[in-house]
Amino acid sequence: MPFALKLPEPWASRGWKAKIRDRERLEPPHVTILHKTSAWRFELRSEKFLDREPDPPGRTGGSRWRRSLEPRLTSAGVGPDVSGEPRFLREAQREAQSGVEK
Amino acid sequence: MSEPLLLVEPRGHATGAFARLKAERLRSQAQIRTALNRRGRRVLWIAPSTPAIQLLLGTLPRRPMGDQRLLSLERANGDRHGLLHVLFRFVVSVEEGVRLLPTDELVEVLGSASRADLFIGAAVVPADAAVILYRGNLEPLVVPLAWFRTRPDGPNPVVSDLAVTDSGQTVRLGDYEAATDAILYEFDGEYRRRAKKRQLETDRSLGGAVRRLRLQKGLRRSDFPGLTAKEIARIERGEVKKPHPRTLAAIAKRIGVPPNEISTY
Repeated sequence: MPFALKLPEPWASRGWKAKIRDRERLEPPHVTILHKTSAWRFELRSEKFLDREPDPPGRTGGSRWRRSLEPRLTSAGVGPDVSGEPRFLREAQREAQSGVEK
Repeated sequence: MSEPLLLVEPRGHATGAFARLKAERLRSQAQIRTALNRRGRRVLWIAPSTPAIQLLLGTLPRRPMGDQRLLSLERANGDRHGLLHVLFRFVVSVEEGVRLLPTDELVEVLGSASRADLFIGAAVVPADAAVILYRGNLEPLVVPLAWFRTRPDGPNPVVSDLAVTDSGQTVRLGDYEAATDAILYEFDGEYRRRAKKRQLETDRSLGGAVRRLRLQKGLRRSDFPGLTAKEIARIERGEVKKPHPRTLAAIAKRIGVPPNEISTY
């Protein structure tokens, strides 16, 4: 079984996936974020996105999306042996939960 | 550049699933003939239904048409099947044991500008221990089954459960998954060159900056006095992370950039 992050809502139902498949381009080690026909490789050593393109659909401004996401995708969040979820996803989940409580 | 899409939809046989696909819709023999005369050499035809195949075969000339490709989502009988293969350069059809993506994902891939770098279907050739993967531009790619090797503690590839998933970005064999990107990188030299070029363009290391600056100035690696081409190559590849200040100064002098600003390029 490939390593797949269990994504919280609304990410999962919108078709977002984050996984390390059994056969990937090995170097550099990375996790791949998939959405429809787009993919973003996130390098685990440098904690940076490997690819300049593409930006997500509907987003403009070149690398703004990437820059805003990188600091929140920390190694503490990404590693399968730590929490299994990137920090930005945990934050999104927390925000959604606090919205429900209110 | 992607080839134009021609969707054959005879009147009364429109396919709802393809409604959002940006393609030229051909509903009559006259429209097909006009499209044939107008279009360039490489075209991707989509025939989602049996009436669409009938309309197409009733209109097209009975001779090979150059680099024309056909995606047929319905089965055709034996004779018709043979004829399609004569007329079209590539035919991807469900009747040949090809397992296609679910229709919504198929539409997504066909509508993508990078469809040639995604797979739309797969078929196993057990006798030859190989898998045929079909790209979004319908070109086939043959991958030996042995390439899908198992990782320690990983699942074994299950050939009988072959499928393309994740909108063409993953090839699944049972629980085993391989990235489309990894397959293309290994088996398509042109894709590999493109990936490498992209990688070099986005390389944020000092070596990447040195390489970009050198190429910008039109210099060869042997054009750096006091340094060998081998030394420059090692720096560019990132094998020397922190070059000696004297080396860096020599590089900076030759490319006309202050040493402390090299990495900003």
